[in-house]
Amino acid sequence: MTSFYDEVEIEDMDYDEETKTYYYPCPCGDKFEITEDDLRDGEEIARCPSCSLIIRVIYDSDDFGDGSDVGDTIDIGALSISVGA
Amino acid sequence: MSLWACGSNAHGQLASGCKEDAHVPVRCLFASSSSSPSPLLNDYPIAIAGGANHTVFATTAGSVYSAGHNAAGQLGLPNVDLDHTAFTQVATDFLPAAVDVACGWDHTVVLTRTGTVWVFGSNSHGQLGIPSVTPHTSTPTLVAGLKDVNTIACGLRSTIAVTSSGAVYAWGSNRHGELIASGPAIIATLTLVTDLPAPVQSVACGFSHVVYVMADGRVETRGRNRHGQLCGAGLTVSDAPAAACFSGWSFSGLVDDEKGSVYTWGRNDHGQLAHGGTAAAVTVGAPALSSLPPMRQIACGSEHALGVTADGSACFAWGWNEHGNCGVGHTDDVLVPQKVVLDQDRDKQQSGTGQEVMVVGCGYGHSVLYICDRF
Repeated sequence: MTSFYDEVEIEDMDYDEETKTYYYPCPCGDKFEITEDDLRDGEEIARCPSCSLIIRVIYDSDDFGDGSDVGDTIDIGALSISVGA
Repeated sequence: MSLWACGSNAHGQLASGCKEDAHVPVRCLFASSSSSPSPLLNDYPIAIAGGANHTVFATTAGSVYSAGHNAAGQLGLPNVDLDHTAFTQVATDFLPAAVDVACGWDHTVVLTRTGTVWVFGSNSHGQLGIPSVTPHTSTPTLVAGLKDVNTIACGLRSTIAVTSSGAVYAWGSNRHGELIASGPAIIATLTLVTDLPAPVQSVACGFSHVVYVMADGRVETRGRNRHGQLCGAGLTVSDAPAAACFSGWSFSGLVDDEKGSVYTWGRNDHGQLAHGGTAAAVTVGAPALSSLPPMRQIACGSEHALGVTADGSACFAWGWNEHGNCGVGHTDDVLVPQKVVLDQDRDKQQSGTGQEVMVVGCGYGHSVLYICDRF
């Protein structure tokens, strides 16, 4: 069973525009972190880069996309497609 | 005399000259003191505190020293780009002698002999109480309008000052109403706490809760109760109204100043309550711990604590220990309080000498001890 240090609502985390990452204080003095992309992919565990503790992030998946690609817009021009033999 | 530190050292907060964690206490170093091992000749630490990644102490002469992370100016040193891996004296000659220090995540509070309060570091959540400081300052700055303060305490992003008459002023993050019930999420300037039933004699701050001991010995708690950290409320140390409280992030306790008995409550998943197990919060009125001898001082990190025995002959540690912050030589959680390893460097000392633990302090993931040789 996974043991979370805490369960934290996304509103209580600090958002950094530059890194597009949410942060929350970790007992070790570093910060738990989870990126906006992680949240969009449905990830809910924020990890601390300096220790083993993890937290579960509570958020509304509608705010970040539900992880499915339905309705997503894809820029075809930006895709590189390789075709195998 | 010597200062020793162990635990997390990501930004040099152990003042050990490097950024490696230490699992037993290592000797602290001082910057620019090549002529002597320490500039503190006839000057001794009287209060030690730490934050996320910094350490600060005040001395008998009223000086302040700091080490570690300075990105928000929390060391009170001008170069905010540098981590300081040795203690450096803070320029405090323009303020009265320091008598106590307290640290939040990345801010520092100094109490002076005249009862004034000076702050430096981050003001991201109003924790300096000075709205004109954005986002931080490395210059010790007076909190105007406060006088006769005799006790200070810091939460992660908050500060509390108690006056000699027991009045309580608070400022900073109030997300869970821990400072002012039903107040705004951020309290930017000092605000009188009016809902306490009696004058306050001791205060301690957790992550999102605050513990008070009233002058009559009653305990009051405020803020979040997710881990049972408020359940000390209603506890009374009837035999000894002079009791001091202490608090980690989500556990708290009392030490009876006369008998040295220790009471704990709150979170215990890493052995924070020193019961010898990880059973959850105790109920109000729990008996004093039998796992600890009489204590004269308790200091808490985020999820660990140190306790100095009444005779100063030993320091016990317990709780979360992933970074070796308990100083017992390993990184497993310490469920049953163990003695911090104090005999490092003993080969340089004469046999037959003893050591006395004078003062201890904790950062969130580290521990600092001031130790005297005793003949």
